[in-house]
Formats: sequence, C-alpha cells, structure tokens
Amino acid sequence: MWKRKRLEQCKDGLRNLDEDLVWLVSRLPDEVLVSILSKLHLKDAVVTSKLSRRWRYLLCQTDRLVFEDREKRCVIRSEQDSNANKYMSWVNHIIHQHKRPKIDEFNVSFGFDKSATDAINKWIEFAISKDVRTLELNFKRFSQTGGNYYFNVPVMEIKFLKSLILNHVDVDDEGLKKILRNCPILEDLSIVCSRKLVKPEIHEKGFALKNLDMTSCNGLKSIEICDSNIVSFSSRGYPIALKFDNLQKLQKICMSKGYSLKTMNDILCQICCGVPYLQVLELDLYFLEGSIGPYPFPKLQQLEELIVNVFDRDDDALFVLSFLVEACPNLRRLTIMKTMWSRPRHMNREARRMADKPHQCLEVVEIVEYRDSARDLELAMYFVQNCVALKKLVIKPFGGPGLAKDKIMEKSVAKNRARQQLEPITPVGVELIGISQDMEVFWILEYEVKEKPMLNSLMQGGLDYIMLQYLNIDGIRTIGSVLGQSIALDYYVRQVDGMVGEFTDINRSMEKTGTFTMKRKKLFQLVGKAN
Amino acid sequence: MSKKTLTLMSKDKQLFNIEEHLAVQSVTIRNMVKEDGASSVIPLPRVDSETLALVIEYLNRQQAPEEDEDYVKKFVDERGEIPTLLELAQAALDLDIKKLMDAACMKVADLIKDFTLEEVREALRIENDRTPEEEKAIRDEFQWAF
Repeated sequence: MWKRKRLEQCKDGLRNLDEDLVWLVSRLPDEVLVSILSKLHLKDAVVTSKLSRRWRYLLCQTDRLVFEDREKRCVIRSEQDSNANKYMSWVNHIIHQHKRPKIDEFNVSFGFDKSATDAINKWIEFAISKDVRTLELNFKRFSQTGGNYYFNVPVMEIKFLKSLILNHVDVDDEGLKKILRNCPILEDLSIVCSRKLVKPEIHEKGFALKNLDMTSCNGLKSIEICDSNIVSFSSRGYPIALKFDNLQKLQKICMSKGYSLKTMNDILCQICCGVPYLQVLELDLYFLEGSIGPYPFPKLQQLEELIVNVFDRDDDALFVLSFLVEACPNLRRLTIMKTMWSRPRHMNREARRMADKPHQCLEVVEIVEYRDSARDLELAMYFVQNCVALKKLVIKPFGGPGLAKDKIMEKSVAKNRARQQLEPITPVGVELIGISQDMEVFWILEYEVKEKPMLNSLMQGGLDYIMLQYLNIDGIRTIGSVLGQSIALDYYVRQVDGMVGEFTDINRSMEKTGTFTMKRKKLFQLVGKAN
Repeated sequence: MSKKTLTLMSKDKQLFNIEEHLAVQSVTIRNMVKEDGASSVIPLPRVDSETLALVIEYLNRQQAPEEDEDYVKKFVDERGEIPTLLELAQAALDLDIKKLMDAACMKVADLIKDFTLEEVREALRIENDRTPEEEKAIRDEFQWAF
C-alpha cells in the first residue's frame, strides 16, 4: 500500500476516537511497542528513537537486529569504503546500546570483504553471547576483489543457533564439520558462494541438521552425505560428484546446472541406493551431453514430484524428460519450467522426438512459460495422450510481471491463444487451468460427467453445464440434441452477424456516394438469404 | 461430556463466556486453570469489552491447522485501524496469545513502515516531550545512523 494512503488511514483511525483514547500509545506497555519495533526494518525503527524520551531506549529491547542495506549502497564501488565505515559504525552503535539478554535474529547484509574481518568477528561474538537463533551474514557483492570473509568457527558451543545463512562467506571443509559439531540444534544451514568448500563430508548421525543448501560454491568437487537425518538438500552450481548413503529422511533434492547425461545418471543411481524415500526432485536438463540411445535411468520408486528446468528450444531435453518420467513410476506431479535466456548449444542437431511412454500415475502437469508454439502444443499433447490418470493440466503462459506496455497486449494474446490451442485437445475429465505469473487463476476448463440420482427433473442445464439424473442412452441423446442445438445456434448467429455486416457496408457506401453499385444477381441472393 | 465454560470480565465489567478448551490457547488462562481450576470469573483489567469480544471471536475460530496462519493474518487485516490493533496487541500480551500478538504488531509495523519521524508521530500520536537541548543532543547522537 502506498505510504500516503497508509498515513491517511492511520489518521482516520485516530480522528473518531474520544479524547482519552487518542493518547493510546502512551499507556501501552513497553512489550507491545518493542514487539512492533522488532518487526520494523531497523532503519525505520531507528527513526522512532527520536520520537520522545520513552521511545529513546525501546529499540535496545528488540529481539531482531536486521542490518539491511536496502539502498544497496555496497554496489557503488567508488563509495564503498566510506559507506562501509558508516555501516560498521551503525552496527556497532546499535549493538553497543542493545540491552536485551537474548536475540532471535541477527542479520548483517553489506558487501564486506575480508578486510572487515575484525569487526565481523566481534559481531558474531556479540550475536552468540545473546543466544542468537538465526544468524545471517550476507556479504553479497559484485566485485570479487579482496576475497571473502573467512568464517572462523567459534570453539565454544553455539547452543541456541537454529539457522545459519552464510552468503559470500568462505567456509572450508573443516569449518563445516566444526559448525555441525558446535551447533547442537542447527537445523538450517545455507552456504552460498563459498570458494573454500571442496570436498565436504557429512558422516555422523545425531546432528539436528534438516535443510542443507550449498549454492554456487564453485570450488566444490564432491559432496558426501552419509547416515544423516537431513530432509532437504540443494546444491545449485557446477557438476560435482555425489555420494549419498543411508539418508532415510531425505525427501527433497534440488540439483542444477550443466550435468551431462552421465553425471545425471550417476546422481540418479546415488539417489536410488542412498535415498530410499525421496519425494521431490528438481533438476536442470540443460546442455545434456552424452551418448544417444536407450537411457537406462534407474527407477525412483518413491518420487512423487519432479521439477525440471529446460530451455525453450531444446527438444533434446524433452526427449530425455520422457525417459526420466518413465523412470519414476509413482510420479504424481510434474512441473516443466522453461527458460529463455540462452540458446542450447546443439540447437541445429536434429531434434529427437519424445517417444510415447504411457504413465499410470501422473495427475498434474504444469508448464511454466507456455508459448503458443507448435513445440509447446506438442509437449502438452504428449502428456495428455500418455498420462492415463491425468487430472489437471496447468498452464502458466509466457510473460513476466515486468513487461513493457506493448508486451502486455502480447501477453493477453498469449493467454487466450494458449486456451484456444489446448481446449480441443483436453479430454473429458482433465481440468485445464491457466495461471498468471502472480498465481492468479484466469481460466479453468473442466469437463466432467456426473450422475445425480437426487435430481428433481430428468435434466438440468446452466450456462456452462448440463446435469442428468441418469446417464443412459436417452440422457446422452438429450445432451447430444442440446449440444447440436447450441452449435446450430452458433452457426446462425455467425450467419446473421455476417449479413448484418454486409448490409451495413452497403448502406454506408450508399450514404457516402449516393449510388448503388452492387450486381443485381448478388443483391437478390443476399435478400433471399436474409429472408 | 459437557464442555466446561469459563467467564472473562472486561475492564468495563462486562462478562464473556468461552469454552475452556478454547480459552486455554491463552497461556495466562491455561496457567490459571492449572492452579485453581478457575471456577470464578477471570478479570482482565486492561482489556475493554470491544477488544475482548474480538479476542473471543479469534479464540473461537474453527480453522484447520494449516490454514491457521492465513486466518490470523486475515483476522487482523480486517481490523486495520491502529487503535484497534494496539488494543488487540495489548490484550494478546495480557492473555499471552503469541500468534495474535505477533500478527497485530506485524500489521502495525506494516502500516508505519517507511514513515518519517513526523509521520510516525502523527500516525501513532506521540508527543515530543523533550526540551530543545535534549533535541539537539539526540540529533548529534544520531549522526551515525546509516
């Protein structure tokens, strides 16, 4: 909501109050105000310190300290140094004044490199001394000079830490082990863009760790996870060797970027042996290289949901996809995300078509960035024809939220074209759903045959449905005749529209020119048709 | 089995009935029930009757656990005026209903985010009780603000 509107709303709320209620805030207990402050951005919260004597020290009681760089000042490199100093003194001031014995969340987000190590170490020490539960160090920056801050894992136990997010912070293999050992209740660990992580191994049981994310750690060679209780694992980045063993609780895996068919096959083998209960798998099918031929993908019996990212013009990926789907006999949901931003390398190679492979369980197929191209239609057709149990076909037509004006037209055209294309091929019993980028459903098509013995009359109709008491030959005849009538009606409506249009043209030209130019025979034909 | 009801009394001496198993979502009430069975009326000296009625409506909700988050959010959204929200937050604090307290405070924070000092002052009606000297001191002190 816009700021001005919000301010008006706030003032309106106060206007109707009795005089004694107006100064409501002054008699509220500190806890309420502190709780509100904790939920504000720190920058806005600092503003309130200047409100009055009472508000001056409320900020020292918050349980969330999120130092955000919302203006992204770290990006402007020429000013980085002075801004970095300012940011540092901001953080130092606030933590110096902070009084509450415990904090829930501590978050520093600024493009620091290793030159700020001393200050950062102190902040981490502060956060741990306050029994922090969520710690985030986000030093994302564009220039990579200077090197990342190296996360020196404290020797003492970090008893209350539940969630640790390290972005552009270097952690090495030994450091990861120490983190897991020293944080007994750590559940979420996310390490993004660490360049020191090479061959991390997670072996021991008994860690609380549930969600592990190692994104864009470009130094990674391999990851080994055995006997752990993790529930979700994600590693987006260059191809790496994986070893999974005895991961009974692992349900979701997300892997991406540049796998060849061979490495993909290796991953699937690892999953097959080491992750018996995997339910959700997300994979990129980009740049798949490798020998063509039958793909003996190992079977993933438990997998229920598959999310694949493919390039728009890469038929090869879709070819592989058909084998991948075949390898998951219990798959219920498939999402195909299409990306546009790059061309596949072997675009000119002869496209391999998807081979028909019937699937018994697949219920929901979602295609994101659907364009009305023949290729996309074919893709949709493939699933309609091969999935016996298909219930829903969800289409998110192409077009991001930030489209230019002339593109908006194109977007709405794309929406309707998609519908026109898909409506005829959608069989009875399959719901066709169109969803926009912001998840709003803009059309649903659903055909279903229902019997309703409780119906009062033999048949009941509505704008877009017919209900029958019993489905027998009479009933079908009724539907047939109603459908026939409505189609005939459509036909005549079109005829009449055409003729009215023709007459309008004739009248207009007569009005303009004062003459009548139509051939006698044609005029008689038109009049005859109209009568 | 008949359900046991409790009686809550607002600041202006109005009485409200609520079933015990719903009322114990409030940690305060749960502790009272544990201690003495809470047979008598539970007084809430800081909560007015309008706010208490809202709290009771909230406690009486019949939501599936997975929809609860959305419900709480909608519940406070529909009562988007700051005084109501603040009263609600205070009541939730006294009764120790964490979810409601968080949601109400979150809504207030959403309303006043990005406001300048003067705008916050207007929105919340907070008087400046500082002398000019103190004003200057505070301005100097906040030089570091990023």
